[in-house]
Amino acid sequence: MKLSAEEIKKIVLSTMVFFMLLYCYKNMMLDDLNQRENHAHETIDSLTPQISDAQKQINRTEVLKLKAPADNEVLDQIKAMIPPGEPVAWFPPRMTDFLKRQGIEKSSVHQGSLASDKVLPGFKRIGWSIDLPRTEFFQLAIAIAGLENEEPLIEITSLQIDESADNLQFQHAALNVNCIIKDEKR
Amino acid sequence: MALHLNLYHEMQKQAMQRRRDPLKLGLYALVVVVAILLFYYFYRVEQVHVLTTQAAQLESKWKMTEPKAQEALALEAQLNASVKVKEALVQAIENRFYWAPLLEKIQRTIPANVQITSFRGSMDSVTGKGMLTVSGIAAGATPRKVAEDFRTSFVSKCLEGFNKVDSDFASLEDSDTTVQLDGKALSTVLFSLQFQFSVEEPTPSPTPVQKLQKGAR
Repeated sequence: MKLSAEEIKKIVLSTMVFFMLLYCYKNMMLDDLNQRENHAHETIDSLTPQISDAQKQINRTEVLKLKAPADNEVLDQIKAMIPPGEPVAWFPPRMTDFLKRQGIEKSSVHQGSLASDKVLPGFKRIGWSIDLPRTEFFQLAIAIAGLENEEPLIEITSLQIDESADNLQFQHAALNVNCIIKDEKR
Repeated sequence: MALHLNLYHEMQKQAMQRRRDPLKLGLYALVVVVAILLFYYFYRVEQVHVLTTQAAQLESKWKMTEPKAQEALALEAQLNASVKVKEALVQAIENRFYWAPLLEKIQRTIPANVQITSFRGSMDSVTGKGMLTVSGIAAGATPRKVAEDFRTSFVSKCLEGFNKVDSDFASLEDSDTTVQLDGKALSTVLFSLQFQFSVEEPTPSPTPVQKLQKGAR
């Protein structure tokens, strides 16, 4: 079949229209769709692990929240052992009373160094020196045992017992202790 | 054979030409292609719609979850800090060095022919290292041996259970004074003993390389 010149023109025209149509279809319709699809994929890929991590974080905190009351109870118990106010106001009388209960009448308590502890935020360690000019070894040992049992926040850091120069029955003792107190400034 | 004359051949030819019009055929083909393309387009639109809906759902979920996660993170830090403080306090209380049991052991260890005149002890709670200085008088037929026996019994009985125990005489001097014990006059020595010990757990020694290699085989 031979095509006439007019028919060839029509075919060429149709082909051009077809390619124009394809061009418009791709650029104006498919590309836009592809962009939206890519954006959606990116959003899904980035948000899925983030949401998963966030959910894990929330679950982890929930577990901690369940354990928190027991921990807080211990912390509150320890805090309740520390009287309010300046330690110099309550520690020396407390020690003097304790030692008198143990049968040691003469004692003097002096404040030593005050240091904050990095491991214990909200608390400080305060040093005290306790001088016992007239005591007996057994009486002192029983008093130390009582102090270590009754006062868990007090730690004896050094201990010195010497014979008394004027009476061999008695000894002279000196204790250095550390006491954990609340840091009121926090 | 009858002769047929087709008087409409020109009209039929024109009709055939109209049917075979390339523009018309091309238009038909174009319509089919456009239909296919449109079908594909709407298929893709649906696919993308599903994805964008999913992304939008995730975004709204993230908007709800993110503040909760931030709150949870802050709360976790707060709770962890509280737990650390509690644990540190409990450790500080439980890891104290107790002097009373040591004094009790010392009281039980000192023999009748030894008298302690001075006792000094210190404990560093950070390093877990302790130090004792015990001074006194030892009496006996061989008072130096009595002092040495006292040193060894002090280490074995009083400092039993501690790590890195070290002891030595800071001084050991003969004394001119004699003491009466069980009706006997005994010569004496003045001694001063120093003890060092540690309450920390001993570090496990590394496994020898040869042993490891044997085990690997």
